[in-house]
Amino acid sequence: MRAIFLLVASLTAQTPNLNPITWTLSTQPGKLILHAQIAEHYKLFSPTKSTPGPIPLKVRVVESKWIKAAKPISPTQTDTLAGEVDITIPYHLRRKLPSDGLTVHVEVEYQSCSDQICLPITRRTLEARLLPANPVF
Amino acid sequence: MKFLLLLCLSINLGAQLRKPVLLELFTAEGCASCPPADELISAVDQLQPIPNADLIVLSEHVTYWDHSSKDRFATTALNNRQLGYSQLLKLESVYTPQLIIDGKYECIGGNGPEAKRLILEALKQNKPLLELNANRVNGKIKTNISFFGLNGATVLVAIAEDYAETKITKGENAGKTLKHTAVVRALHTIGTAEGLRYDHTVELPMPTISSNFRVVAFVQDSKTGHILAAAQVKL
Repeated sequence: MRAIFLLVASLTAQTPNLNPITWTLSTQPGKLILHAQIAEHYKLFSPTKSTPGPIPLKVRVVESKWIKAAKPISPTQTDTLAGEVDITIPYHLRRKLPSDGLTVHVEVEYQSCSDQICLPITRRTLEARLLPANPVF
Repeated sequence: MKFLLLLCLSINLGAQLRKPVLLELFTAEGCASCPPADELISAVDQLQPIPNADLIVLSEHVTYWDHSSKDRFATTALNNRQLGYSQLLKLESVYTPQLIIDGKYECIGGNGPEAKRLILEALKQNKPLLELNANRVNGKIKTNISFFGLNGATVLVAIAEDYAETKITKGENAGKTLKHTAVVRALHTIGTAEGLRYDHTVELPMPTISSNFRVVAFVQDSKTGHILAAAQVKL
């Protein structure tokens, strides 16, 4: 009896982490930095994933009359990402930012798995504030 | 009358030696983490490892891993069933493999020790006896279900293929031959229990099944999702 229930003996976690990716979006001149903090034992399927199966990470900047984004740059060419990951999204401004700044939205769509569970497609919208450069005296 | 009802409700399967516990495994052929859970549920079904428990298993395939190839057993109705549990159990998300025990407890589908702990918890709950008879009649499945009490609860019948195999050619499980047990091919809501005794016969359409199958009847509290009675017949 014990043997059956210990079939997967390595499994110890009692409660699965159902939100294993923490996203943050920040700005640097000319680029957005999308940061993923991937919980221990989890993997995120990368944007460059080439094999069929779970969907690769999709990143989309919601463009506007102010901003045009280039293709996101993934840190590695591997199928999965783990740990702390930064994805860089270059952008250029189509016109001068409003004096009070601009909120930019980035949508992510992804799947993730641990060695015990897989999560369905998850979508998140992140935002960051672009501010005009400091006035030059 | 009240005494009779109480007497009937208190039947703790005294006549039956094993108490039924319903194990619903939400799984998918496209999910890399699922094969160990499929193996566990198969072993539990075959070996019935808890002496006083009749472990009734159902593999319920969901569609949200169908990106590279279609899981032929998956249906959106089963997605919705899992989503319903997720809401009742106040989980942040659905996931696979997920084992739901008597509609009340959940754990990672491949986590044997936790599954065992929760099954033992579920066994503390008394259940009235559900009598189930099922036969093939003219290409249909004639099913009779009877039990006492459980007023207001929903009566469901699952028709499940005893065993199925799929050779996976795409996705995370590519190259594996996946083996499934008690794969749900149809899930019917039969009605609502009313009055002192529920006794109902229904003819259900026969789904396309390549192997032997089983009929699983269960009564579910429509508010909490808890399984109040269950039985199965293998045909």
